[in-house]
Amino acid sequence: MADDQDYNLTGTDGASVFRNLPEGIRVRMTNGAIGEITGNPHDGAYIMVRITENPANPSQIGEEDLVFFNDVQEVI
Amino acid sequence: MATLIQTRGDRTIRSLIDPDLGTVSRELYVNDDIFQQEMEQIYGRCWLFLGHESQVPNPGDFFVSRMGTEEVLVVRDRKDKQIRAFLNSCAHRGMKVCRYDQGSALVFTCPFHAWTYDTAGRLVGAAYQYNEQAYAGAINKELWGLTEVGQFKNYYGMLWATWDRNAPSFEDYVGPFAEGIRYNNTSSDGEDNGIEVFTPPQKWRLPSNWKVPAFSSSTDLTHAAMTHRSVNAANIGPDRGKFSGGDRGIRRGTRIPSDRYAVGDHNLGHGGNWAVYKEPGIPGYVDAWFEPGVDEYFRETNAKKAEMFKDRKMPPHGHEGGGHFCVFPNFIMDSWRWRYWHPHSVGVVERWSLFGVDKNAPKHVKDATRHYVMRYNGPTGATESDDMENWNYVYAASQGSMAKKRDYYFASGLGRGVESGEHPGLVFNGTHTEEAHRARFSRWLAFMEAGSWDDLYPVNKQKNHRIW
Repeated sequence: MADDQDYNLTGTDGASVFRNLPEGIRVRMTNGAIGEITGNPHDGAYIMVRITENPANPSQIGEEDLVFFNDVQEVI
Repeated sequence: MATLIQTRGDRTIRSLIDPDLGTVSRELYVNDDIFQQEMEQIYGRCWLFLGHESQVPNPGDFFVSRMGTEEVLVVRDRKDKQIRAFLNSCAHRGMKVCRYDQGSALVFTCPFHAWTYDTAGRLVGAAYQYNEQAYAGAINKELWGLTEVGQFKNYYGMLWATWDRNAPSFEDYVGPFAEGIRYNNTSSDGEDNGIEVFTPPQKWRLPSNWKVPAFSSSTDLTHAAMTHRSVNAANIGPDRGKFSGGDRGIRRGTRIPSDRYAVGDHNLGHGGNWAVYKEPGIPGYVDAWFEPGVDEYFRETNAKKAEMFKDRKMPPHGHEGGGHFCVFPNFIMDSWRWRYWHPHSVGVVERWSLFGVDKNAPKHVKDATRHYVMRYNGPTGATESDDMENWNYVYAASQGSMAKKRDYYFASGLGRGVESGEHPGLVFNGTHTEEAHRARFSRWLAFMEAGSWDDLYPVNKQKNHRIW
């Protein structure tokens, strides 16, 4: 985890935590890919992520994409 | 051409204007069929004013404006820094993608199904876009971006757009008024791009047809004598009586000699006050401000501008002489305020105003300028609240079955206008005539009858739209 905070995306606070995820921390997606947050529009729907690992699709590494909250499994 | 079935029988659009008598049927102002046709054929084709670039100084900055009855999102892209305008309606199901008047955004996410657009209007995300139980990655994002305007123009900081890709260039659209638009957009020292605007725009809605104020509240010098009599008599106008009460055609002792007219461009629809200056230069500065230090600032900038114009004549719409003018269909401009009228329905119009100030002016000058425009304009302004009385009640008093039988009278100066020759359709007339108003109706009729820009000047240079 990028800092000492507990970014728990589950439960009643999960939506609020997601909306305020800071740039720089890493997240694991439900498809197994891992990426670093490069931007957060703070709309509670998306984060912008640069893919750093993707065993299923290595060609995606380095790409930046908007990731919907449902596709984010956890902060790592 | 629309055929109307009303109490007076079947009428064509053209028959609602009598060029010999100088009259206009009230149907133009109260008939919903006509209104719907205006939205399609006028607001769908014309260049419309959106705002000013100082409203979006940084990448990601945006504001919401209007084109006719529709909202548009004006945004400066985070990547290429260009300003663009888009229909504020999600390509998926039509929800507003932006529900704020202004701000800064990374992306615009529709609150309905999370379709998301970047600051260049491209679709970059959608809920479950990759989910095998939903889109499974099949959305062609190239096809489902926000609807961008047909043409966009940043004209010395002023932002304009048209939905119609076949419309003429902005410069051709405004024709002989381009120079005045540029001049009235300069800072007080005469420099281009020296203006910023106070935000947000002043906005309020009126229970009136959009043409009541948009077509005839500029170049209407006769209304001031009656409508603004009380505020002028009481010397509570914005300049507190220093220039004979509310008359901002100031600096009388130092005016540059000129011939003055009311001008209407019957081919383009624009019109307003017009001064033909006989000598180079600008008027000398006359102290006008009560706030300390403001006259000192403007005296200095006026001296810089005078140096710039020592061998140049002012354009015909210089504030010191030309006064305000209308850019067809709904924009009225002078050097210190830009007023635009957004129709909502046949009987509701929303007035927006932007006020410019030198962006490099010190705070006390900006504050004094802001206070001045607030004293004058809007529902609480000392002078413009007078106008609202008229704008509010014209519609109410014109839509009854009896009232609709009476035509409006636009005949002041009818038959006395003289064409310039230099610009086809540009007609000069006495300063207090309704020549500019009539020009707007010439252009209005042309748009209402035309199938496309191919039938309209200046795309079709053979066209002469003057009807009276």
